[in-house]
Amino acid sequence: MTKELAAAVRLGLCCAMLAAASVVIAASQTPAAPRLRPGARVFVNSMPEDFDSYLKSALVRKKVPLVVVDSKEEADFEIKGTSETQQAGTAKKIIMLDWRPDEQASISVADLKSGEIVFAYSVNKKSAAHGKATTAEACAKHLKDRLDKGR
Amino acid sequence: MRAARLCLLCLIVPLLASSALAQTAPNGLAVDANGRIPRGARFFIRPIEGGYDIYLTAAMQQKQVPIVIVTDKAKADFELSGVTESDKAGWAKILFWGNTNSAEQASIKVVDLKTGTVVFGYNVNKSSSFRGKQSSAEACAKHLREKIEKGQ
Repeated sequence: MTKELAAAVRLGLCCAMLAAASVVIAASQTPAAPRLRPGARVFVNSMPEDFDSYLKSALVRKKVPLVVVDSKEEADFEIKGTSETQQAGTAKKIIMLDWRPDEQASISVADLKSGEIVFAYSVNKKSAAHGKATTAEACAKHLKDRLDKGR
Repeated sequence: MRAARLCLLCLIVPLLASSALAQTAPNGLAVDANGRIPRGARFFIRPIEGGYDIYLTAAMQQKQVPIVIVTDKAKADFELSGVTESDKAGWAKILFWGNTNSAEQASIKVVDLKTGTVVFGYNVNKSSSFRGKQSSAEACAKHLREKIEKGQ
């Protein structure tokens, strides 16, 4: 009886190990998140208030190691974004003596093959000294940081 | 006899476990009948007025919400939709409070695309939002992450 029980326990352990192995294999088969690598070809989609132009300039200015292409078909990734400018009102100009606008922008980078978002960033600058260029350069800088970290 | 029952149990348990796994594995669709949002669920964020969907996407990454955001609804398990509204600071707010921050409000809901049920909803109202839309989007993301982590 004891031998029979020991055999059953062994069999049970084997089954449990098999089940655990199947779980590990299934988990390893889950597709890995696509990576944004230096040299990747990106298409910058049109954005409100021509923010795409500012972003393209910022990508060059901040030396982001990406290749910007004109056609979506040639690209591996697509950058979408939005931008909003709030010009300084009369009250801000008179009371705060501040003429600079408040800027906010947000971008996301999608892998065109898998459709997954691989990077996204939002920025909000009160009294942006260089307007849209400030927010575009913040986006470019953080995109470059991400590429440099290689995550 | 007892040993045979034990053996049978040992065989059934892994089989049940593997079948449960099979429900989540094929074509990447997450199946959860309890209205829960599993970790790694694939989300499609519907375009929201003023590009708020992009702020939400960024907030999900900033707050490390354990989901995968996809651009194709057909590949998603859940759909996130919402509305947002911004109010610029008026002259009185600037004069009396010295505050130039905008007031932001937003509301989001998450729908399970398989069952068509709303599994999560959240409203946020910031009377003086330091980072504008980014603040309200991050509040939504934070609460969504809490929901996923609690597993309710």
